[in-house]
Amino acid sequence: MQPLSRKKRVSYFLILTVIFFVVSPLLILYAKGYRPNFGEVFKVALTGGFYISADEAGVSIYVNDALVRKTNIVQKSIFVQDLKPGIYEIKASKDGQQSWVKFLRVFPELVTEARPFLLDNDTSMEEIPRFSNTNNATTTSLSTQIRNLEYENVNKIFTTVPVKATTTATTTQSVKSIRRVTIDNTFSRLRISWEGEVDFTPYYFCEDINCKKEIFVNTPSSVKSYDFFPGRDDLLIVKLSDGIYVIEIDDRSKQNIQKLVSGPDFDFKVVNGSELYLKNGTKIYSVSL
Amino acid sequence: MDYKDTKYFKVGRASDLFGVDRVIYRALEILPGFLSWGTILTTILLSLYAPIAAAYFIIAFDIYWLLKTIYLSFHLRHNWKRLKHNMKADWSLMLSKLKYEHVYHLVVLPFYKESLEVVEQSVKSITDSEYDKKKMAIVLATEERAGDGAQEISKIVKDKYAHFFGDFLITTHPKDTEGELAGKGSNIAYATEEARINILDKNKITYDDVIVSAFDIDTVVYKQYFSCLTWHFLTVPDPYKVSFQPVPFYNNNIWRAPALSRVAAGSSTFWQMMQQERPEKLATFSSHSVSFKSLHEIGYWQKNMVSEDSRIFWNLFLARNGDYSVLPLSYPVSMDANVAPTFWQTVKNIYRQHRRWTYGAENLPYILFGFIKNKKISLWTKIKTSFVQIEGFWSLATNPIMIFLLGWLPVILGGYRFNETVLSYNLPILTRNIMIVAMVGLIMSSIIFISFLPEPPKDKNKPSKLALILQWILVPLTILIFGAFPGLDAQTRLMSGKYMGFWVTPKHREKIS
Repeated sequence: MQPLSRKKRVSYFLILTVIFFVVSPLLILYAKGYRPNFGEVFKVALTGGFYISADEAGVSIYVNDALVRKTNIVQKSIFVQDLKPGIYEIKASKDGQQSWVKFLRVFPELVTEARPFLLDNDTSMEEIPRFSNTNNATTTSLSTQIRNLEYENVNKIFTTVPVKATTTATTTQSVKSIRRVTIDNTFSRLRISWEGEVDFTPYYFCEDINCKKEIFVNTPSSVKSYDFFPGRDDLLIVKLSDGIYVIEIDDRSKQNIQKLVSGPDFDFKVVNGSELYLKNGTKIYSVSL
Repeated sequence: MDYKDTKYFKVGRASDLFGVDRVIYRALEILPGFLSWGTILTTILLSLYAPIAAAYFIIAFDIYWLLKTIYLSFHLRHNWKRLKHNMKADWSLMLSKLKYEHVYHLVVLPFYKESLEVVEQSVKSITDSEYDKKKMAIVLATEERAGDGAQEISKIVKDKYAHFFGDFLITTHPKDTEGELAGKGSNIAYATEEARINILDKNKITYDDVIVSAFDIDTVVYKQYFSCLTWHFLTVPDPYKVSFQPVPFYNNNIWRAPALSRVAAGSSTFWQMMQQERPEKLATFSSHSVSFKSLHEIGYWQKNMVSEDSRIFWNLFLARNGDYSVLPLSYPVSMDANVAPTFWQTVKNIYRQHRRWTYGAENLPYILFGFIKNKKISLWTKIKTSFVQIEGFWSLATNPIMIFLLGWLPVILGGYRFNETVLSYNLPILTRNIMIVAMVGLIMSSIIFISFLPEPPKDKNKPSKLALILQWILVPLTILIFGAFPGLDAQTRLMSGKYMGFWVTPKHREKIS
C-alpha cells in the first residue's frame, strides 16, 4: 500500500489553508459582534449583548418579555448576544421573590452588565431570644432565666454610636466605604462615588465606555440610616420612614427598590459586611440572606 | 572537501567551535528557546497592552490548531490503514521473489543496567522473527560503567541465544573516554566499529550488503520486521540514501502502565504514524535501521551529544548534501511504555524521557549551521528544511500552552475596557468550542489505539473499552505536561547553555510468577 499521495496531501493542505483564510476573519468579526443582516442583502450589522449575573439558580431572565433562560446551579449568569443597539427591558423573576426590572442600552461591540437582586416576598427572619432557659438538674428542678450572650452582643452594636458619624435631625451621615465605593449623605441625598482607578470602575458607573465618578440614589422618603447590603457593593440597605428597603446604586435606568420589612420602628445593622440584623423595640432578628 | 570531512561535521555544541563559528552556533542554540519564549511572552504582553489584537491572534491560532489537527488526522488515518495492511502482508513471500541472500543484518542492542528480562525479551523476539538468523549478527553493546551485572547478563543471553545467529558479539564501551558524552551514541558507535572488525571484516562481508539496526534495548521486533526491512532495502532506488524508520509501539508492558502513561505512549506512536505519511518531516527516531555503508562513511553515530537517533540522519543529510531521506516502513516495533514502581515516579520518568526526546532541539543549530557551511545544498532545500524544523520545535513547545493556557489571557489581563466588549465574552466561548471540536478527533485516536493493543497478560484484567476510550480525555493534560513543558524545559536549557546529558529511561518490569 502506498503512502498518502503528494496530490492528496497538497489538496488537503490547500483546502484547509483556504478554510483558514476564510473562517478566521469571519470568526473574528463574529466574536466582535458582527452579524449578517438578512433584511438587507450583503450587509452586516454590529450587535452587542448583556451579561446578567443573577447569583442564584431558578431565576428566569427575560429580554423584552421573551424568556432567554432560567439560571441553574452551574450557570447563574447568562450572556445574551446578537442584540441590535438600542434599549431593552431586562426582567428577572423567581417564584416567591420580588421582581427586578431594568431598562438598559445595548451598544455595538459592547456587553452591558447587570446584576439583578430579588428579595423574598416574606423576609425570612429568626428572632434571637433575649434570655435562654437553662435547667439546673443537679441541685433543683427550678428553671433559671439567664441573658443570651448573642442577643447582648448584637444589641450592643445597635446601641453603639459610630465614631465618625455626624448627625442631623433626620439622618445619620457616616461615610461608608467598601472596595473604594463610598457612600455619603452630604447633600441630603445618598451620594455614591468611585474612588478607585478608572480601569477598575464598577460596571454600574459606566455606560458605553464612559464612566462617571458619582451616582445619586433617589429614595421615596428621607434616609434615616444606610449601609451596603451584605455581600454586595452595588446595593444599599436603607431605613426609610415606613420600613427597611434595599435599593440598587445602578442609575442607568430607574433604580430598583425592594422592601425588606415594613414598620417605622425597625432598625438594621450590617455586621462584618455579611450578616444582617433587624431590631424592633427590644426584639432582635437575624435575617437569612 | 566533502562536508563530512570538515571540522564542523561532528560538532556537538557551540563550545566545540572557536571564534565567529562559536558565536553563530551559540546564537543558533538560543534560537528555538528564543522563538518559543518570544511567542509566549508576546502573547502575554499583547494580552496586557493590546488585548484586542491578542484576542484576534488567539482566535486565528485556535482555528489554525483545529485545522492542523484535522490535517494530521488524515495522515494518521491513512497510516493506520497502511500499518494494518503491512502487518498482514507476507513480507517473507514478497522477499522470496527477490535476490536477497547476500543481505546481512547487524543488530546493535545497547544496554546499560536493564534487567535480564528486558534484554532477553528483545533478543528472543529477533530469534522468533522469520528472517534467516544465520544472516544476522547480534551485537550486545554493554557499558563498562554499568559494572559486572551487565557483563553477566550479556553472557547469559549469549550462552542461550548465540547459536541461533550467524554471529553474536558482546562489546564493552570503555568509560570516561575523552571527547565523549556518556550515552547511547558513543556506545553504539563503538560497538558498530567493533562489529566491523570482528564480524564483517573477519567474515569478509561486503559493507554494501549490511543493514544496521540500532535498537533500544527494550525493542521487540514483530515477526516480519527484517523481511519487511530487507524488502524495502532491495526495492528502494538507492538504499544508501535513506534510513529506515519503523513505527514505535509501546506495547511491551502497556497493560501494566497507568492511563497517563498509556496516553503518553499512544500519543508518541500517533505522532510517529503521522510523520510516516510526511517523510519530508521525518528524521530517524529511537529504534531505526540504516545501511552500514552509509554509517561507515561518516564514522557512525556522534559521540558528543544526546539525540544520536535523529542526529545520525542529519549527519547523513549534510554529508549527502541534502540528498538523503527517511523511508517510513509503516511496520511496527514494540517498546516499553514508561512504568515505574510508583505512579509519581512514572510521571517523573515520562517527563524526563520526553525532555530527552525534545532535546532533539539541539539538532536545529547543527542543521542551520550546516546549511551555512555546506554550499552544495540547494537554497530551496535549505529554506524548506529549516522552516519544517523550526516550525516543528516551535509548535511542540508553544502550541499546547497557547491553546490550553493562554486562550483566556486577554480576559484576565485585558482590563475593564476590553472586558466590556463582546469580543472578550466570546473569546473563551470560541476557544472552548474549538477545543471540543478538536477533541472529537480523539475518538479516532482511541479506536486506533485499541486496534493495536496486544492481548493482556493472564494475571491482568483487561480494562473495559470504555476506560480505554475515556483515557483520551487526558490528552490536553498530557500534551502540556509531557509535550510543551519538557519541550520548553529542553529548549531553555539549550538556550541558557545548561546542556543536558543522556538520561537512560529505567525499564521497570514486574516479576511475573
